[in-house]
Amino acid sequence: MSTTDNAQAVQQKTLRHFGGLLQLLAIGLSFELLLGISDGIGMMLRFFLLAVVISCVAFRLGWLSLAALQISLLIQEPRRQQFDQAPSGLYFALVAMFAVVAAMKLPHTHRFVTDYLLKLFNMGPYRDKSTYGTQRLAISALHMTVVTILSLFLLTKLPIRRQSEIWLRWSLENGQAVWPGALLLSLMIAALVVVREIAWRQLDRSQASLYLRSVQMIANYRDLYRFERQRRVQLRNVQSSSQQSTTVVASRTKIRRRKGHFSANATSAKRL
Amino acid sequence: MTLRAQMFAVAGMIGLCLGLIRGQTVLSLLSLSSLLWILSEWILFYWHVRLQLPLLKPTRLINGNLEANRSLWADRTIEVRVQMANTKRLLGVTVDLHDIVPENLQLVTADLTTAGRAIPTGPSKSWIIRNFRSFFDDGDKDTFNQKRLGLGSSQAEWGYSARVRAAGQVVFPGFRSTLQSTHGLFRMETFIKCEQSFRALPSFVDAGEYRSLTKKSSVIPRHGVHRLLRSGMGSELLELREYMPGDPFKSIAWKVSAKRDQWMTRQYESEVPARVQLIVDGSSTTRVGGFGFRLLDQMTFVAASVARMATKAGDPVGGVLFDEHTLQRLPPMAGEKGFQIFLRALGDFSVNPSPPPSQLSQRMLDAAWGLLSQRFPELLDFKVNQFPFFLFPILPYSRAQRRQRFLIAGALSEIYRLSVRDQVAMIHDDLTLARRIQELLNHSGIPWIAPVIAPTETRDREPIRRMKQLADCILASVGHARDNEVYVVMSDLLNCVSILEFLLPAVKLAVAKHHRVSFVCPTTTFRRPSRNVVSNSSGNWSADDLLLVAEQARLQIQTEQLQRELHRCGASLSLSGEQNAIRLIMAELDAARTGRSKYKGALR
Repeated sequence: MSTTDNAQAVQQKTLRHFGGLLQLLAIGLSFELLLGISDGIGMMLRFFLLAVVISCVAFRLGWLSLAALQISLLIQEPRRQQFDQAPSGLYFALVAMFAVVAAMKLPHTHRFVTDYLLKLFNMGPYRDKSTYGTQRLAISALHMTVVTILSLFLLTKLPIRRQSEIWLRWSLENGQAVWPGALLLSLMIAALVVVREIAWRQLDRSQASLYLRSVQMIANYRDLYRFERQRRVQLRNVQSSSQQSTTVVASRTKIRRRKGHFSANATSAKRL
Repeated sequence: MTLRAQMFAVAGMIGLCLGLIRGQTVLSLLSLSSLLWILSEWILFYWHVRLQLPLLKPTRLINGNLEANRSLWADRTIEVRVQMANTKRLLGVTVDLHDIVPENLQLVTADLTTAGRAIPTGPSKSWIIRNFRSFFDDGDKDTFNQKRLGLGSSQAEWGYSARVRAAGQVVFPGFRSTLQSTHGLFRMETFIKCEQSFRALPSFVDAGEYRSLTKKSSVIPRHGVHRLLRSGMGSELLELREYMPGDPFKSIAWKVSAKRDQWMTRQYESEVPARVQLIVDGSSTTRVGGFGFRLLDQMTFVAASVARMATKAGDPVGGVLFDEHTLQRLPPMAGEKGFQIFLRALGDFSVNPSPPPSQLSQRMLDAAWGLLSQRFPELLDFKVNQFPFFLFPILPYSRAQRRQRFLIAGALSEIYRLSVRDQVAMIHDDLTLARRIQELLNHSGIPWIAPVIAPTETRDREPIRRMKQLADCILASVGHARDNEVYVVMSDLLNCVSILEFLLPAVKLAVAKHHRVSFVCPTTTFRRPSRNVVSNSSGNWSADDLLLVAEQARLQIQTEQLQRELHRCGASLSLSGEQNAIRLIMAELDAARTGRSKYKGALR
């Protein structure tokens, strides 16, 4: 490796590490803004909370970030009788979801940003994955937006809130069902049947064979267990009887030896 | 569903409930969004898996060849190259492909040009350091035999090198693939079968010192000229050399000795080939241990080296390969073809047969569970591998163990096509389950170490039977022999000194028939016993040093006894499968050709 390559590698490493720290700090600060902890608290507590948020992000504990946002909303958001359809709520939810996903995918984000900066400052070869990174980022953003808008739609249209009386009145006026529970239930059962059918049809030959075998075993388990127990008892009896016979033979041999010994002694005594 | 997804789902559910109860719009919206996001990720993941799993068809090239059923060599490095097509079509999932390396292979290096960046397996760091490192790392998780294929992976080929540890069989079973969603919320593990089986031939040394005593020009006699069909010296002078003890007196060159004032001997051309009969004992005690560390590996190395040198010298080589259950007789064969046949037979003989029965242990169950979840993850699925409800045991740990046993029994019965009754027998009978697990582990290429075989089962159960079998082999070989043969008996005799009386009559008979018998006795420490194995002038002895010295002292006592007994019968003994053993056998062959009465210096 030449000196130029070495210098370039050092530059890239520095950029990667320094940029990584900066990104951590940026994500931490955005979380701080989202959580609304920047005002009204002491500096030490603020730094402590910032450190906790950055740690959550660095260790890719995305669910903790989500839980922190939820707790913050639980404490700070005012209660309302009616669903607030103001766009600020949607924007907040969108930004929060983006932040959570970015925290989860921080190493990838970091790599993507580093590659982009390397390309921007012309500091060496950058990965070809940048294009894929952009594509993936776009897909993720679209996904998040669709999911958040769908949630907003569901929350607005479904009678799952306190103001269901309003919805009931509206539904009756428009000649619709009293409550879409029956329809939802039947749809859910149909979906479950379809999903289950698809799952069973995906089994391969060995899995199907194993399933049949296990069903057969469960059906006849008591009888089979009894047979097995009898077999073991018989085996134990045979073993114990063979051991006994061996012991008997050994004891007879000992007796014979002793008899021989005695007879030999008697013969020698007679000779004497 | 990974733990991460479960935590997200729990947080989302709690947040949604609280938001709806308390009438907090943004909280409800955020929580429902997170739940819907997980749901959509799940649908997308299974959709991608369904579409893309059939695309995962990697191919493996060993030393540049695609087809299996070829031969590899022990102690040599092979190049493995894995190619993966259709990677451009992998969308939405990350695939970790792990080429499962058989136990008989040792990973050496990764191919840095294609495998990206090799991560050496160093000591594991703490969780904090690992996480911070992974954050600042490039994110490549490619190791020697593992490759991560993600969205837009351009590299669809990678490779690594591995060394074959021992003779026997090398079976590449396939790839373990882990499919993961882009955000790591869902994971699925499958096994892609790509089985390739190779015979591993034993390694050998090609020592250049040993040379044929047959003149190349006189190898094929003229018509009408017949070779001597009895042992002894030839008629044509080859060279003069210094007298060695045991040389016949009639070969002394008196005039030359008088001129040089030194005893000189005429070396004649050998006209009777010295046949080598290699008797290899592959009983269960010689197969215990990891590949490359078995006593059998030492013996096959010596046998292959001797066969190589003998065939180079033009001597035919035969063999008897036996263990508790099989006996294979190889007729004496000469030339390169005969050597290859002999090597193939040794390679096949080195494959471990069914291990002796061992008691069931938790370690054995864990090993079976690990292997099944690696190679047959689909058979451990609760949906297909069902079992009856049981109330007892109540304790969670015991219940988990029992569940594990049910699942293992179900998977084993499916793999070996057993009846339902056998499955129930496996569930309730430890011995039956242990036998099946041993079979599974052995077929998967796991060596005879714990938990395949318990440490208490490694001792020789029937040494007298083994001695009798060995004696029968020698007698049968003597019965088939012509003349001037050298018997090389490779067996673990160190623990059988007290029962040598079953073997010695056969040795005496072989010696009485003017054959030469040489014993090669491998040692577990791979070294010749000596009292001065550890040179420690400071006097600070560690426990390992003391153990080694004690083991060597015990071995030396046994060796002396064994040597005394064998020497009395006219046989020689060499310990450990090293160059010394090969030299001893070559010296015996040399003596057999030159007609010397006895080779001095039996222990090498």
